[in-house]
Amino acid sequence: MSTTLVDRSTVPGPGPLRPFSFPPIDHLTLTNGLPVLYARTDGVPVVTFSLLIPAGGIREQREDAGLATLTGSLLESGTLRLDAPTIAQRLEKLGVRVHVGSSWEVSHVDFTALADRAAAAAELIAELVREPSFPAGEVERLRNEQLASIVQRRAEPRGLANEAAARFIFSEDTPFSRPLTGTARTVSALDRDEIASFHARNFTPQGAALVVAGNADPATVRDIAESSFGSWSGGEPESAAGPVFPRTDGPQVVVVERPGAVQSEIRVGHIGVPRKVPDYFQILVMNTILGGAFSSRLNLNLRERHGFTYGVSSGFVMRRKPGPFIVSTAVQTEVTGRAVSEILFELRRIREGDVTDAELSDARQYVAGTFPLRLQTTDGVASRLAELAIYDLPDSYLADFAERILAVSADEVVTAARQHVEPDRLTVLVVGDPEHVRPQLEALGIGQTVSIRPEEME
Amino acid sequence: MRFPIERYELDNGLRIVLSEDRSQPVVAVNLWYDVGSRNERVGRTGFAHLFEHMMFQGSENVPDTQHIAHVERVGGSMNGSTWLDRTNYFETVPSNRLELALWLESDRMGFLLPAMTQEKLDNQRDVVKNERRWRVDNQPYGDWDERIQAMVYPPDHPYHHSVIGSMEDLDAATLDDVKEFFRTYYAPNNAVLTICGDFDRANALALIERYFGGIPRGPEPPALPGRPQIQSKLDRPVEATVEADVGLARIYLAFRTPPYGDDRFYAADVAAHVLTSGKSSRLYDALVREQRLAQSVVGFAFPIVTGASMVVLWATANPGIPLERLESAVWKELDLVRSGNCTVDEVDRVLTGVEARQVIGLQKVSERADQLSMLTTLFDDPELINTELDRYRAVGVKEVTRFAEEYLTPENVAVLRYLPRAASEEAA
Repeated sequence: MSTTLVDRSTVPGPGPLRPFSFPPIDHLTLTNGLPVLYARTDGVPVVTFSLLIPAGGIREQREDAGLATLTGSLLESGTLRLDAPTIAQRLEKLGVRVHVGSSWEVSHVDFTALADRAAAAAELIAELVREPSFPAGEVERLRNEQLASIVQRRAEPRGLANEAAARFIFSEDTPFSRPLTGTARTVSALDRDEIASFHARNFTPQGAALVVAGNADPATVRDIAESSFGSWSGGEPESAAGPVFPRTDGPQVVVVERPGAVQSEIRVGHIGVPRKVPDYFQILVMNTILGGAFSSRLNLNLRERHGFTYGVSSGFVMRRKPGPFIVSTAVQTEVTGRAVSEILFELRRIREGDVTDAELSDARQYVAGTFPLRLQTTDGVASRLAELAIYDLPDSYLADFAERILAVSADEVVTAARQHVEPDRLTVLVVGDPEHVRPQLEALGIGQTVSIRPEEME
Repeated sequence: MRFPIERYELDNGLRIVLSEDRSQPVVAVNLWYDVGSRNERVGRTGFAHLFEHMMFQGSENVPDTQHIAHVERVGGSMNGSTWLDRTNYFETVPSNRLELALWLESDRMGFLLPAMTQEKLDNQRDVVKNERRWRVDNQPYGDWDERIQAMVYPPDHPYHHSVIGSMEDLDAATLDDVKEFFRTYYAPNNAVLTICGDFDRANALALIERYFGGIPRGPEPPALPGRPQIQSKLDRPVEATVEADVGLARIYLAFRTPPYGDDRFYAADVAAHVLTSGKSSRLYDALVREQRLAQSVVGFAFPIVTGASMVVLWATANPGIPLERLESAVWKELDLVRSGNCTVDEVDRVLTGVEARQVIGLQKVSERADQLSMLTTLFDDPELINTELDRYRAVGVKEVTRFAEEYLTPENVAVLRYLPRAASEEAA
């Protein structure tokens, strides 16, 4: 075969498109009213179950920060019939790893199993969720483990920067200002009674949902769901925390002191938008151009042009209530001020309306095209179903996702930027060496610069 | 479950692995080059990885920054990574964009050098130095692997230095080094190309021939530098204690073992799981749950093939627990495993987990493609993706005990301790 005449200078075009469609979603309701969302996939015989329980951080009182997380991690510590080592062994005999986690919205219990073991795994998980015994020794042990993880987070620049950014962006009485896993003060005070009571009030099928994705027969899925969760009962969960407020109206600069640090962890942001924001798709495309892809403006500027960083990204963290909009990066200490200045430049520029046709079309294709890539696994599909359940979105959101993204116009991108990126309200937070970083930040003249030591952050 | 595999080889020596799966309209393209940090010469640590960055800086027909942009703008994802034994490059794209991915990969395999400039090298050198700061220098315990490698492998072994390399050596890299490295290692006869997912075989083979067929075979790559063949055990134990900006004290135990591919390596991997994988594992049960000495335990066997591999275990001490107490508790558990205390039930649970994770973990075409490239590069045997579980199943209590007796010993260990700086100053 002759290969010398290949024309390499032209970018190859597309072949015939094989369209992607989200697998059909079945909605079932168990006898106790628990909704089940089920998507049948074509791949290997593997099933993911994810139980979403209305026991997220927004249902904690301020002084109990970390309670939802601790309650969740105790589910594997014992039930009325099984002790912790027995639970661990039974799960491992099924080849199953259970993940229990708490977000602001929900506590979730997830597992992925080979399809023929899903029924046994679901039955065991149901017992953990419905009948935990919270043994006193395990409460103490896991509370200490959570306290130790707080020590680790504070010693780690990325974890420290994320915690501090939330603290300085949101007002003190907004739950999002606290770390989900709590602080040393709040976690030390949590006791077994509070945990048992939080569980009794919020681990309830009212407001819960079960999502299932995998290659399994629908009747089997229904039977498993019904026999494991159909007789689960409980009342209304307690009400969630109130509205979201910023800590300050104007711009602020915060240095979290880490003397001798060779790199500065930078967070620049402000309060963003809730998940059900009307211009969701426009915001996704706008953020992709700004800092949501490798080829985004921020990354091409800070990394590929200036070599300041290994990477930079921006994102809107969307919850039922507005989460943060935040730019994150780490740069060498000497260029901290210049890096912040380039970030501010890009945040202003995206509002100015110079989005090119190529930028727009690349960003739309990227967001629409990568959507199916995350649906190759059963847990990828399950996490999309969970999005429907948690944020009360219609199924059409998944079916129409690509179409909606591809319809976003340049004007809509600029409108979204002007509305949702607000350079005058920014918190600029740097975890770094104060001696070198502070003068660089003060020279930018953004606003008053305050310094804080990690141990001063309660 | 069995993945279909077909193998081909081009005249220029490029090895091809195809694995079809039409369940989703996506396709993964994955290239392994048989070059990693183990090939670096003295004074150029970190160069294989720096070079990997240069592979994203354009080639003769792909302008600066456009390699990644081309993939992103068709809705694909991509990356590359460098490790001890290899460098890989990969993209997952909608299946009607297979040709684009092959064009991009072939352009940089065959036509990279015309696009290389001093300016791009200087820029990526800065990026990589920031990657080092981010991963290693500004991260608690971030230099553990660098320290452990230096302790477990002698100075003339290719694994003695880390993949990320030293700042000094990164500074010393030149454009001539880029050219020489490319000509030495980046040739079709030193690479494996895997395509996995939704493609038509005849079309894929024609495209591969079209874009890669004309790239000339390169010279045989030189032998590895230094002394790659070493004993599978340490001559004597080594230890080090460092004071650093860490929140909690931590101890690492690294045991030198036979390399990946050896029967005993599978026993090593199963032993590492018995000790640390999951909440019924021995170290979790004893140190975390029962005795409450540790906040967490981690352990694994490194899938590396040059001379010898390692099993590494680490345990992070709970606040207020002296590291010596934790250390002796770890040894007590290792003594038990060595004395034959491990049960059939434990080994069965580990094998059940390995099997389940193999099926669950290979759902993505990109994961499968990477495994196939790996098994072909390291063992010239992509079928291992379907048969490697048999090698795990051949491991029983006897093999785990024998492995532990021989390798998980106080004579064959590198011990690395991290102490929080403030605490150690108070103690002084």
